[in-house]
Amino acid sequence: MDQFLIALLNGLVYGLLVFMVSAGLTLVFGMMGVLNFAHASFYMLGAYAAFFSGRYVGFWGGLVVATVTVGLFGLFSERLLMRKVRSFGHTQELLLTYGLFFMLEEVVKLLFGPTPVAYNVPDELRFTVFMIGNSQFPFFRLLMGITALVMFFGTYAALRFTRIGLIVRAAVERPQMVSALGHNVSLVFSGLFTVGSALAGLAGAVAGMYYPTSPAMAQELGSIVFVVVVIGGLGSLNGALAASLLIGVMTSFAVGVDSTFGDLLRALGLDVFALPGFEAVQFSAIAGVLPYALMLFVLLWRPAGFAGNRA
Amino acid sequence: MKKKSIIHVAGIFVSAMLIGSAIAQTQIDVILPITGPTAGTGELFKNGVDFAFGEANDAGGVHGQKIAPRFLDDGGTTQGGTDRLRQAISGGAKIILQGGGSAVAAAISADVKRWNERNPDNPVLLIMMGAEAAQLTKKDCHFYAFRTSTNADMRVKALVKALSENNRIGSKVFAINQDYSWGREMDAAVKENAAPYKYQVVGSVLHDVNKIQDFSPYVERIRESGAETVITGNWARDLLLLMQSVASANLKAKFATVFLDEKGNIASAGRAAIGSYVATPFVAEAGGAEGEAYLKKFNEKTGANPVSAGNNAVIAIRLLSRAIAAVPDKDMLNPTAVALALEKTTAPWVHGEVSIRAEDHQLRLPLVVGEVSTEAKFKLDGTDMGLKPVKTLTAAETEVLPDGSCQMQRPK
Repeated sequence: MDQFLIALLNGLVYGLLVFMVSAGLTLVFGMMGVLNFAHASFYMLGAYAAFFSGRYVGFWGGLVVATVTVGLFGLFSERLLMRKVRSFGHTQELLLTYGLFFMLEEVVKLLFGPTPVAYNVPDELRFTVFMIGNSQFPFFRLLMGITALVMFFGTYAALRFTRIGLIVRAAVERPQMVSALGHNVSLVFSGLFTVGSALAGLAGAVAGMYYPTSPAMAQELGSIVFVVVVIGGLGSLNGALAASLLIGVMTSFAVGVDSTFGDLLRALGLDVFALPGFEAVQFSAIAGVLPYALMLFVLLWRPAGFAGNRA
Repeated sequence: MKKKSIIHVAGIFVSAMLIGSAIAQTQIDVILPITGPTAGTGELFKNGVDFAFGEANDAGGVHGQKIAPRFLDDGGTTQGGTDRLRQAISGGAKIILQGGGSAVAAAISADVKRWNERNPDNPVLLIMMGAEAAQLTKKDCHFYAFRTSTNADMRVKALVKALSENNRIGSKVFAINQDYSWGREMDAAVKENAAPYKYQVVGSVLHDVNKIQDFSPYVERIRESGAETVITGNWARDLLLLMQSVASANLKAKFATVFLDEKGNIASAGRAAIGSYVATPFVAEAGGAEGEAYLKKFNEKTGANPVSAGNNAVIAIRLLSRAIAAVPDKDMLNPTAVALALEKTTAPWVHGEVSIRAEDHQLRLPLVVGEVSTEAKFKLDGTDMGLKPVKTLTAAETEVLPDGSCQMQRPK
């Protein structure tokens, strides 16, 4: 029972981390339809911004600085870069952000070097919240989870219950109509992009202290966040949360299983299909591939994702 | 106008190249990942190469000539490695140094082998400074390929020998490694050494390379197994994430690692690193006055500490410059003569002598097992932690004898 609880909690926390990064992409890619390949780079920038400013303003100050800086950076790249190519279509946008992705990685390498930097969990946050059996549950893992939940409820409430949220949702659906009603749609989109980037920045600042803060961190999460947005359904915050949690829990449990594919085939009475090399492969060895396999199945079974509108 | 300026620029380039070659010293091509995801490792090699060439030139160079490295960037990919090798060979290179991962090394080594078979009168010599995959000096060995780093067998042997002789290994060991050639070799080596060093492998796991974000589930498996020591060949992010999960779950088992001393790792792991072991070619504190002097000189020359793979580059060039010095003047760039000389060369190293084994061209070198501690004399990465030596093993103690799978065709 303890083992089950621990695996579940670990899975949930990891899922929430993935959600933190995907939340911004859901707004940007899912709602606005901007194929921002550099979204994970904003996550990396957030970690570096928090690392750099944390020396002067402390850990908590660093979180704020990272969120604001990356948000502003997002605003500028939307206003000065993406806006220019939007009218040419998605391909140009994709190529532009793809270039931005590489550029940011190289700039970070130039400024901070190619190896990881010492952005660590501060000592005063290294304490245990509760115990399960012999395992301790540390506070900063809880902090990551709480940040993600605050992010979810905050964004959800803002979109659902405020007047601004109403205009945003309307602008996404019927931009011309909203514009005709006297709202500045271009401003709405810039704002949405800024918030999306800021969320990625905050995610980077929180996750970067636990995961290595290095120029490679954008590449590591870059593909998984797209997987989450696709599985969850374009533009759906709830869908992204569900997809993230599912991926987290699934991976966590797969790692704990100590059997091989051969065992599964034997249990099913299908050992004739057991190929020599394949039979000895452990389930835990394929844990990293599971999200991509899940995406494949979701695309086959429900192309719009969990909560997406079939448009 | 535009055409003219292009011709002009080309002219400047050509004359610059001519001037360059007129005052040239002996140039040796070095293929490294200077850009790309493994650029951090490339930087370690580059520092080592810069230092060692400077050292050789300060001692008068070879045969009265200065030697200079020419760096070629493979971007960390096998395709890049193959292309840069072709570039080096077509530029007339006779001796090529390579630093970086096993995959690139294997591709380059295979290309060199093919080139030498097709051009027996014009062979090239390859020294792999950092590739650790065992096959390079086993099944895939050939006469013109040398390896100046360790392999999984040697690292695991050094770790378990040093730890068990100091009663630090306990009786239960867990192996966690990456699911590709290197990780599988580590896994096998941990199991092979169980009987001679009297420990029991209570669990072993292979995981996806560079795909796992959260190692907590693996850490729970380690805890469940009751292991006292965990041996891992993980490097870069797979190592850091593992250490983080261990620290946050407060697992009491100690970690025995191979690459923890690479730049940035200890700083990034922070407190999680304390108490872990690493088997490495250089620990300043274990080298006494000589170790301190080397550390200081390396620092002055490159502005960085000599860590991990950087030391393998220094070892490679110390061996190479001595081998070149041992052959007659006219043969100094003759790959066959230099290769034969390399087999007999020994070079000094901080922790004892290094040499090449003639049967399979594997380096024999001493290794130091160190523990990450705040009490270490020399700190790393600007932290308050460094490596405190547990035991220094001589080249004879770290040697793992060849298994006969290397069938080398020697020149007549």
